Amino acid sequence: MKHLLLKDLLLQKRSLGVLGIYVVVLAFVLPKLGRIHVVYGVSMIGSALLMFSATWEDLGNMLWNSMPVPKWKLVGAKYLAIFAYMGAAMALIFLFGLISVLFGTSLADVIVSFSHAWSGLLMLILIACMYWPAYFSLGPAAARYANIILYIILLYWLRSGHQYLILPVGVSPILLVAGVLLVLALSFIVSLHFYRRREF
Amino acid sequence: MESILELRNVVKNFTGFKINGISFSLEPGYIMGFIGANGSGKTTTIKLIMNLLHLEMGEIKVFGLDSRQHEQQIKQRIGFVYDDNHFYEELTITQMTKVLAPFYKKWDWNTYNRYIHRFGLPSNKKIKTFSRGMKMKYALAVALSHKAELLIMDEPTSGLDPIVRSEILDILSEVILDERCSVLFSSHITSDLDRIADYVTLIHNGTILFSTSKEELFEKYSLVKGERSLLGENLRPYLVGYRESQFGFEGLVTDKAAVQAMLNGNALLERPTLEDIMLYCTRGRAV
Repeated sequence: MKHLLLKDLLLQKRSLGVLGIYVVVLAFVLPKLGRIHVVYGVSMIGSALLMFSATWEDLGNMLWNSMPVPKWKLVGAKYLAIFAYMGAAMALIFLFGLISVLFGTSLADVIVSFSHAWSGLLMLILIACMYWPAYFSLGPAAARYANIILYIILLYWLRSGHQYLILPVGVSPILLVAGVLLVLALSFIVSLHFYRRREF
Repeated sequence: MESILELRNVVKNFTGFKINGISFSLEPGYIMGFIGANGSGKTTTIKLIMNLLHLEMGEIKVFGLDSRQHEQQIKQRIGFVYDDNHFYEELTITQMTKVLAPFYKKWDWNTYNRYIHRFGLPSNKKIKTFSRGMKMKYALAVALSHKAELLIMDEPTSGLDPIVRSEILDILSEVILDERCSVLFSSHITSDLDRIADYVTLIHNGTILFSTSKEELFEKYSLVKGERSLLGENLRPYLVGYRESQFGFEGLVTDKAAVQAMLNGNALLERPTLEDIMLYCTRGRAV
């Protein structure tokens, strides 16, 4: 599975240019790096990465399904890649935060903002858990529509500034991790079920 | 000897098209040409063999194993080359191969490097910069580098120039010298198969019209050319298909000896090409 992950990371290099544009757009949309902005930034960049990774599997599906690679590994690698995208999104937003320091934001504010990044990561996981079953069920073309719908929802949240995206304090971390893992597992099972029914 | 590939009464339905209970088999160490017009069902059949499409009825056995139950085991022993590029265009072939190779237990880097060198493929250029012929050669190098016992090739030579086509056919002829390997080679360019195929299977509208050795095919069929006046009732039972022109007719006949005796030297009887056989068997009386 690590080779499938490696392939995804190699291919993401082509997304760097687009991500650069994303960061520039974020710089306009998020003039000050507050905690809610970190949440949005991490989830938006992360979800962009996972959607990019779906687009090139138009080619990959025929290839991998003709090779001795079980379908659970193909699906599993996409879920594993979520964590790599989380790291990449965090790194990019942190870089954006450091740049904002040059324009007057205090480093302390940036660091405090980052203490809320986990909400963005949770949001990214939830997006992935909705997106991958759509992709594995309908294929990349239809998943592009899911992509658009998810973006509209994200932009709506961004515009209305819903604070509830910052999850309530006091939720047991163990419960939270268990809940996330359960959602991931369920999403994986649904994706695998759909993918096994797909024809290429 | 156990068939390396066996299809029995395979059925697959689509809207407006059906793979209609097809059966054929391929013995170890031979090249089978899988011919038919565009849209006749060649790619669909190959996809069924590769489990890229779900079988509705019938049975597909590869290496004597059920293709669905032993999918991973079978795919370890299959090399494939498709008509379109399915490699990631943004990667170099070195990157692509490093990702692919670990999935094959018998991957042989020496063999791979030998083919890459022989084909003159640049290791550090992105696949998107390759010509169609280079992409096809890369696919062939990958297919041949894990000691595959069955090569499945779907229109590998279509759209290639004669030099690249010839190169690919030469490689296949070499590969087949190792009698452990068999090849299923689908193509509508029948001249390629005239050169390398041992067996020929013709599919038309999702139905297998014949699956036989090339020798038997050329023994069975002859091309007859003569004046239109010869196209009488006596000849028609032997005619598989024919084409009339202002100068005469040309047709495909069975039972060369009987036709020769009947026409009494008034017509020319020739060995047909695979294209002639495909054309007349699928179209019957041409317009």
